[in-house]
Amino acid sequence: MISKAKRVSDYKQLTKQLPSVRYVDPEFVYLTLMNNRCTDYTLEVEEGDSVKVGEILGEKCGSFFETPVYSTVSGTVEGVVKKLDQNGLEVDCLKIRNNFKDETHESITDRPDAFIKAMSKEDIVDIVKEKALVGLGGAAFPSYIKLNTDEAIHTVVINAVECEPYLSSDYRLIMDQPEQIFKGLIYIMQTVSAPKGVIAVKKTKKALIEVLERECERYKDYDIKIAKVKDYYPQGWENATFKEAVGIKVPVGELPMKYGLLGFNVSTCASIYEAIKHNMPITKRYLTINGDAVNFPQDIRVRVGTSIRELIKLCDGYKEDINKLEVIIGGPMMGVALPSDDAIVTETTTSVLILKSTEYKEEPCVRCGSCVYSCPVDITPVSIMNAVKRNDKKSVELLEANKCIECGLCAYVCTSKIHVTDYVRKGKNLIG
Amino acid sequence: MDKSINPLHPETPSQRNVFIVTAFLGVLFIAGTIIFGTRVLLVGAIALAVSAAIEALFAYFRKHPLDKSWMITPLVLTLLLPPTLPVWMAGVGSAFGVFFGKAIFGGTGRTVFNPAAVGWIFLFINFPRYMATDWLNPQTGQSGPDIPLTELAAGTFDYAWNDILLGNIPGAIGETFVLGIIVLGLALIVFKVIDWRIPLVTIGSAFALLGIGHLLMPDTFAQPLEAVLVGSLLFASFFVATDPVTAPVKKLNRVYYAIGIALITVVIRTFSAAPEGVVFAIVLMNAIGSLFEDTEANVETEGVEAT
Repeated sequence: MISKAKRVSDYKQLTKQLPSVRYVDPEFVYLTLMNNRCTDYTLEVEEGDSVKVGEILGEKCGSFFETPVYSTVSGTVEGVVKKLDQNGLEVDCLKIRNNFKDETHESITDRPDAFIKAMSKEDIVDIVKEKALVGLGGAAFPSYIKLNTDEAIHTVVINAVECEPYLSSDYRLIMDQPEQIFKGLIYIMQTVSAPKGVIAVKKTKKALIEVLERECERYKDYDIKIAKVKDYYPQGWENATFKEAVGIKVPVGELPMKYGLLGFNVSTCASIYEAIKHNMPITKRYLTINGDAVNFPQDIRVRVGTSIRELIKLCDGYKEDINKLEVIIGGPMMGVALPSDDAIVTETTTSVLILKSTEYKEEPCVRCGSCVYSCPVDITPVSIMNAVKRNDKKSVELLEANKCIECGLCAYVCTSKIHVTDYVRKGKNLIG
Repeated sequence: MDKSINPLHPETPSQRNVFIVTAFLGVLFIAGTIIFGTRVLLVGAIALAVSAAIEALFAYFRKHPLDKSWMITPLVLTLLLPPTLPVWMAGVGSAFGVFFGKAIFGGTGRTVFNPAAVGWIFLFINFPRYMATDWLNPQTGQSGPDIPLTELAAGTFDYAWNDILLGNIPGAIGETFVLGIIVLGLALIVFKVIDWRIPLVTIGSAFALLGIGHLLMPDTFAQPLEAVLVGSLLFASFFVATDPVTAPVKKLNRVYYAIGIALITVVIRTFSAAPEGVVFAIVLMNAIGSLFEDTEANVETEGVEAT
C-alpha cells in the first residue's frame, strides 16, 4: 500500500450536528499555574480568599513570558493541587470552589465601539498581552507577538479548517457565534492595518459556509472573503491554509508575516474579540468529547479549568474499563495520550478523545516510501528514523528533521505500523 | 488459526502486500509449470524448502518470529531459472541468496541487494553451462542453446505473437508468460503494492534506448518491442526491481534508479557476451540507488563545513 495519504477518515459526523451542551458551572475549577514555557509561578491570593471571574490570581513566570492567571469562576480559593495538563504533564493547579454566582470582576467592562475604533495598535497589543491570549489551535503561541509585527500585513487569515479527525469544537463555535469571529477579525485587521481578511474553511463543511456567507453580507464594508479549501489533511497547518486560501507559498521555517500574512485560529479570533470588546480573558471554550469508547460523544461549552473526568461523566461515561482505553487530548493525529483521566481543560484543549486501545505489532520497515510521499514538508521520515536509531545527530540535522510539523501522517500511512512520527520527534529533540 | 499468520486477515498493510506478491508469484509459477512441464514444480519445491530451512534457523537463533515474506525470494529465484536446471542447483542458489543476500544482513527490511538476484548471480557465475546454454523450447520439446534474445541479435528471431504473449517460447521459467506478467504487474500497481515509477520507467526507458539505438545502428541494437517483451526485463522490472527494501525511497531517486537499470541492461545485452543483463543491472543499481539519499546528505555536509 504505497500511497500518498491526503485524506484521513473524518468521524466528525458523530458530534458536529449535535447542538453544543453548556456545562459552565462545575463545582470546582483547576487553573494551571505552569506550562511548558513557564515553570514557576507567583500567587496573589491565598486559601480562603474569594475571587471573581476575570480577577488576576497570580502570574506564570518563565524565561521569556510572564502571563497572568485569571479566575474563570467566582468562588473561594481552596489551595494548590496537582493535575495533568493538556501535554499530559503533572502541573500545579489552583483549586477554586464555585459559588455559582458568576460575579464578574470590576475590571471586566465593555468598551464602546467608537472607543475601540480609535484605539491604536499599541493599545490593542497591550490588551491582548495583558489578557494572556495565546493561539488556541494547540500551539499556544502568544497572540500579542503576532499582532505586534512590524511587517506590512496585507491579509489576515482566520483558520477555521479544523482538519484533525473527530474534532468539531471550532465547527460548533462558528455555528453558534459567527458574529464574534467577524468582529474579532475586524479588530485584528484594524490592529495590523490589513486591508483584506480571509476566513478559510473546508469546502465540504457546507453548513459552515452558509452561516459564514450570511454573516459576510452584514459586514460588506470590509473586504472579508470566505476561502473554501480542499478537504485534505493537514490542510489546517498554517502554511497549507495560506497556500490554498490566499495562494501564497510560505517556505517552512519562515514567518508568514514576512509574506504579508497573519494567521489566527478561529477560536483565538473569538477570544481576541472577547478581550477587546468585553475586556474578558478566556474563561470558556468549546470542547469536543468524542471517540469510539465514550457513550455519548458531543461538543460542550465548558469553563476553563473543568475536570475532564467530570465531563466524561456528563457524556455517560466510558464504554469499557478505563484500563482498556486511551484518553487523548487533542486530535488523533497530533494529540497526546494521557496516563490517566485526572486532567483538566486548559484554554488550549480542543478535544478529549476516548478510544479503544489497539496494540499494533511493528513489522520491519521495508522502505516502501509511503511516509516520504505523504510528508507535507517534503522530508524523508524513514531516513530520519534510521539516523535516530543510530544516534547520528549530523544526519538528522541534514535531513531537516526540524522542519517536521508532527502532523502524524508518516505513522498513519506506515505499511508496517511503525511509530515514525515518534522517531522524527526524537530526532527533533536530538538536534534541539 | 493464529490470526497473525492468517493471510486473509493481514494485520498490517505490509503483510497484505507480502500476501499479494506471493500469490501473484505463485500464479506465474503455475503458468511456468504448465508451459515447461511438471519438472518445474520440483525446482520450485527445492528452492522453497531450502529457503524455509534457512529462514527458520535464523528465526530460531535470532529469536525473531518467522519472516512472513520467506516465500518471495525462492519463488522469484525459481522464476528466473531455466527449466532444465538440475534441481540441486536451485537449492544451492536459494541457499546462497537467502543466507548471503538476506539473513546475514538481518532479514527483511535490512537487505542491501535483492536476495533472489544474489542467488541467481551466484548460480550464473558458477554454473554457466546450465544457466546460459541449455534452454528448453516448449514448442518442440527440445533443448538448445538459443533463446529469443540471442536469436534477435543473430536475426533469426521467428515466433508468432500468439506464442510470445502466452509464453510458448524458450526462456526462464517465469519470464515467458508475457501476458500474465503484464496483467499481474499492473494489478500490483493498481493495488498499490509497488510504486508504478520503477517498472514503467524501467520498461519505458529500455524501450526508448533500444529504439534510438535501433534507428541509428540497426545491426547492433535489437528491435525494441520484441527485446523488451522477451527475456527477463519485463518480469524483473515488475517483480524484482520493485522490491522496496533495496530501492531508493524518494520519488525522483526511484526514477533515476529505474533509468539506471534500463541503461545497464541495454548495455550488457548489446555489448557483452551475456545475452541477458537485467539481474546484474538491478544488483548494481541496488548498490548505487540506496546511496542516492545518502549522497544528498554528503554533498550538503561539504557545503556546511565550507561555510
